Amino acid sequence: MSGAVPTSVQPRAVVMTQLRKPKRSEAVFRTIVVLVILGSLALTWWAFTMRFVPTQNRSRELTTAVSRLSSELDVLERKWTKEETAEIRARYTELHTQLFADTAALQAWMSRLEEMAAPLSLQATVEFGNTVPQLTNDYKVAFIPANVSLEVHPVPNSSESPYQRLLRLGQKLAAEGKRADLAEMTVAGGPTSITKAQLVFNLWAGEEPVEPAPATQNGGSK
Amino acid sequence: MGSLFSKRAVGGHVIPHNVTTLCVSWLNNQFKAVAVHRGRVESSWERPGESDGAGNFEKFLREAVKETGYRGHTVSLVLAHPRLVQQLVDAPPVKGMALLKVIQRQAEHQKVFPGEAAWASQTSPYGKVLQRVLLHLFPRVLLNQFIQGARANGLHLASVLPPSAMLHHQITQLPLEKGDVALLVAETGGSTTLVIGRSDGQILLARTLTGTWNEEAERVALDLNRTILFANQQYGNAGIKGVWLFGPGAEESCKILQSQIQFPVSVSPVAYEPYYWATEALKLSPDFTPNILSRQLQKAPQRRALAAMVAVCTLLVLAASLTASGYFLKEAKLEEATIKALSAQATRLQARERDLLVSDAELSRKKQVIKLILGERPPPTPAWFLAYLSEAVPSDLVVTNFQLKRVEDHYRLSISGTVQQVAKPPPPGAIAESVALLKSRLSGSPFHVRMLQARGRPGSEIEEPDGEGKVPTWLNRVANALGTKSARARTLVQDRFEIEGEMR
Repeated sequence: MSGAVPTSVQPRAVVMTQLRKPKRSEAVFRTIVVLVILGSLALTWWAFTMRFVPTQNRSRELTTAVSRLSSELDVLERKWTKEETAEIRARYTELHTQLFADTAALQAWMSRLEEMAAPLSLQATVEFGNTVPQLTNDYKVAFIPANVSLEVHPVPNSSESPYQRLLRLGQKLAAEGKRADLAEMTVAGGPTSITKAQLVFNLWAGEEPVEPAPATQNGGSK
Repeated sequence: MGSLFSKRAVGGHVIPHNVTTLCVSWLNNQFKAVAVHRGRVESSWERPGESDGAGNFEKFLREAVKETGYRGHTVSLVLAHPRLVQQLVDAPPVKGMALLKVIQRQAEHQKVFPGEAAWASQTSPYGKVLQRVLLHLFPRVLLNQFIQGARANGLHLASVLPPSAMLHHQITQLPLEKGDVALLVAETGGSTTLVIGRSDGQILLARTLTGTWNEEAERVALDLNRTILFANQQYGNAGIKGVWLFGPGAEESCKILQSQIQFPVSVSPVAYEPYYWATEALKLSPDFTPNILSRQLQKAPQRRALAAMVAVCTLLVLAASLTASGYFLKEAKLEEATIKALSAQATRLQARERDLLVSDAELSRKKQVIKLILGERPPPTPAWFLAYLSEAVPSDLVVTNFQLKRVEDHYRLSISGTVQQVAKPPPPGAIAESVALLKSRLSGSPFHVRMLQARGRPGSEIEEPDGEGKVPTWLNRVANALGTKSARARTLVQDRFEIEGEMR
């Protein structure tokens, strides 16, 4: 034993304590934590990628489609002005007045022809040819060739020559309200004047179509 | 809670500043408590009378808290108990987990009480082949009573230390030469605790003896001699340089013990104070102190705090996830509402477009029909042409046949005639000139007739009848000049002509 001063040496023995198995509650807690975190991440992922993004993309696509549709509508609405629309419909309404609607109309035309030819000492004979249909969408239009043979009879004490009478008849027929196109004219004469003539008229006949139900909006109203 | 995460800078001769605890020394029947706040002893208390029974720990602790006015959360215990024993055991030269498992088996084997053992160990210097381990054994059932008692008082039992830990530390404070081995004996509340250790901090042996030198000095001396003999046997002459006594009655018993022990016996230079054990325990380094509580139990508050923090973080993650998910779902719902509105708008626009397309088709169709029936109505051109002939035909000619026929998009013209019947026949060539004039007029305004060759007579402009006089060549040139190149006039037997052409 000596009189050395106290040292500040620390105990050097290695200390060990017993191990304890983790409690079941700790394992449950850790499992719950992991499950909650994974569940939270999964929920967020699902909400973002499976719900939000597809819906947003669909909304954008629809917005684009609506915008494109609006542009197309603008073009369509500007295509026909209100005045054009009204004029077309008005003229279309009056269209049937220019056409021979039925046999009665043809008979009436023949009667008028005879009425006009008789005072001019022209004997008219009419033969109708085969109907030639015209291409339209739904309006049934065709023309009927009408071969008008005229026998020119002399008129005693008349100042008008057959040539002049034939011209007058032509003018009157041209002034007819219905559409009757003079397609052919054949005139035969002798040394003095015309003896006979043949006129071929294309009589336009048509049947007014059944109008479809009018559009809900006034097309081309702008 | 912050102090739970701070590492104690202990191991010196003062209580670290970050220590706030209630340190209890329960040495057999002696129960003392010291309240330490931030490294400073605030109050101390000794329970009067006998304090026995592990089941009373809760009650004693409650009294200690009340008497000391302790406000902290942890409690440390220095325990001297008849069931707290030390064993020196041999272990194979292994380390780490293998050594831990060996010690665990040794603890279960060496315990002298029924039930599971709580233990702590300290390594001793190596032997020649085996290493030695000093085991501190205590019944777990009693330890659990202490833990529950502390918990019942709202405290966390942070450590349960044997008094030998303080004595081990005190050996390093003895006046020893380097490498000297000393036997330090202390009176611990009715029992005697002894430690044999080196001045460099190595511990060789620790034991707890029943009785004290104040009551049975001779028996204690006998036990000390046996212990020294045992140590010499275990370590091959341990080289003990002296025996130091510490505790109440040490000075009085020193002479008695000296007379029976061959080594020098002296009183420890470390001053004994009534609360020495409680205060000294706080100066020890936890890393070198045999704590009978397991690491998990020692760190239970930290673990609880960590678990709480993890739980809070998890809840925050959950809340953030729910918030984000709610936001995304809400936005998705808004987008769906937008989609619904846009779909309705698209439907309306499509219906409107259909109407407009129908209307457009209708107007286009009507416009086409109007153009066909009203716009393309041809004028009575044949009648006009017939009227024009009276002006265009020269006076010396007479048209006997006239035909104007519409063929596709143009008119086909055919005129034939003769000369006027006059008394005096016209001179030769006059007819041709008149025909040329007629053709010239027809080719001009307003009808612009394009003359054609007579059908069936290609290449021949004027045909002469057999046996009749020929049309002069100059007339042919005039006719071609006034008409078109394709025009063809045919003069028949001097008084007939025929013209063919077409016009639009």
